[in-house]
Amino acid sequence: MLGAMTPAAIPSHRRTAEGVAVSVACLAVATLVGRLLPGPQRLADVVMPYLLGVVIVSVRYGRAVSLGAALASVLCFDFFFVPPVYAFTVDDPGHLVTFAVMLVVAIVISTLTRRVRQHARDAEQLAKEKHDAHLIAETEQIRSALLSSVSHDLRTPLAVVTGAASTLLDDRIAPAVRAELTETIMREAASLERRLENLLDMTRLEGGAIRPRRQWQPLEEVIGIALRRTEGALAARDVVISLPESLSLVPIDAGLIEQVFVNLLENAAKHTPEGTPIHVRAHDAGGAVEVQIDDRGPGVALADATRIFEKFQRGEGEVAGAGLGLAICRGIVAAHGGKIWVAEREGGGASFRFTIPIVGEPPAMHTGATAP
Amino acid sequence: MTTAGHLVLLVEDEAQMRKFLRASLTAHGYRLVECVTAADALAQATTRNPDLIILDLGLPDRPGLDVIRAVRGWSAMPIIVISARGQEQDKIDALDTGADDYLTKPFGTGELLARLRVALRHVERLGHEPEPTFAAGPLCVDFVRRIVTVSEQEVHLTPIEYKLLSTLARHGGKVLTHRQLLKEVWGPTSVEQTQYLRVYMAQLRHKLEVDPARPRFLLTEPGIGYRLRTDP
Repeated sequence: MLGAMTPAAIPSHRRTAEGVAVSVACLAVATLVGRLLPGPQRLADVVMPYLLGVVIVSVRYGRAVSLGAALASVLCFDFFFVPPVYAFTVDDPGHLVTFAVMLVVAIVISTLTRRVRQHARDAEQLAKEKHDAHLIAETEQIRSALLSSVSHDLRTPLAVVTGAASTLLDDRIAPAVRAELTETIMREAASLERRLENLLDMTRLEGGAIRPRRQWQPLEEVIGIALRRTEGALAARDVVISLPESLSLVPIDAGLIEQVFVNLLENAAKHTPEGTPIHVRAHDAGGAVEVQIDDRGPGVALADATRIFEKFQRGEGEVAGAGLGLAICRGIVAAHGGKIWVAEREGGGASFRFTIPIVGEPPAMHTGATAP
Repeated sequence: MTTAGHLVLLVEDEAQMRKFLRASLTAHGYRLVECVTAADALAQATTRNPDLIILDLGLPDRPGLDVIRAVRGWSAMPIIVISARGQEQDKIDALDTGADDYLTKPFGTGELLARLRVALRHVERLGHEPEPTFAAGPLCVDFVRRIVTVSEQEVHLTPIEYKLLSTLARHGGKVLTHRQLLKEVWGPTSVEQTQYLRVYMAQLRHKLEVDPARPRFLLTEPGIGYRLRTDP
């Protein structure tokens, strides 16, 4: 029972009036049924419709109305059926037991019903409070994790920039060191920019502000942009790209899927030993394209396989990054209707995989181009 | 080519940005006129007649796009726009309105100076006979004989592939938007069909690049268009 239909929500005098009306109707029906019973009337049969009426009223309405209905039933039963008929006097004292039973039934049922109703209301209230408390706790946890990771992640590069810049002001610093410090400033500023970008992406993804604008794109081009953006992080890596020739166009938002590749590649660079190779592959998986980014690092423990895609989850011993990269990947892939997961790679390492469902028909390409 | 003496009109409302741009531009021999509003920019553009405009799209008084439109009414001087990340549509609009190139904040001075050189070179060629060939590292396009070679090996291209490559080569080093390329290669009725462009670009890369996923010549400008690199 919800909203305006809950008994509590209806004004009590209106409910009482309704109860009385229902009681009168039940009495009338019971009396009529009793009178219409064929053959010589047995009082035990006649009392049943009255009892049923009392039960109906007790289940739905309060104790006062139930008792009233029980009393009225007793009186009607007595007046119309118990000899002497059409009089309130009772010949057989045994009938007094019937009256008592009817009253007790009314009391017991109305009490039980009220208790059940109360329990339901309490449980509902309790569940709601629990849910609210859980939500508040979760929001608080996210907020505090966000604050601590933001302050850490943004302050660390800022501290380096400030330190390096103030050192540059010193005349006695050798030119070689100057160049080195300047490069440090540039690198840290770039990392600051990336982290801010991640935070903004996450906020936009969660706020539902990012809706993929899908266009048919060659996956190769998107991977190409991601490789260019991660050049620095992947400098000492052998990154192999294997895409089947048949895989031409996929319906994606290039900017978003590019971010998935960037985050997964940076993730691989961060968590695997320098010099180990990274392999990017894609294949047709029937109605979807499955992409995998395989590394030869330590792999991901089974227990962490889901956790790492949550917000603010950092890898073991990880110092940099707000733990948003994989959560952003999951958000973007989900926005495309796909799935993302991590598997164990045969021969050691992690295999990050995601799918992109093929929605719709790829565009026709008849523009007069014939192979030479 | 010498850059000495080129007069640059710098339209940027942030003092710190102006400071670092001034430092690097003057260090490389450019002369500078600075202003912070679109109105002032238009006044300076007409009175000082600069060789090039660097224009921030986020100006306090009017959209930077108005400046581009107004300047293009009477001059072909190169305009390089500066804008923030995520404002891809602004950049596309600026380029389609007549800006020559763009830079996304934050950018380094190396990138800025390279863009200036490309833009000034293009304007110096205006009015001259078009170059008969384009060469960038091992890639060579012969516009007269319509022959493309990579490391002196001839590469066979379909007519559309050649048209696409030669369009990019004639604007070597400059970004061309999807719309500009589609209009040039497929004609004005196909300007929305970006998938044509992407597919033919992929084919070109497979014919010209050693590693098509890591193009040396045919660069993607994400969300904007393509650029043929002149210094691979």
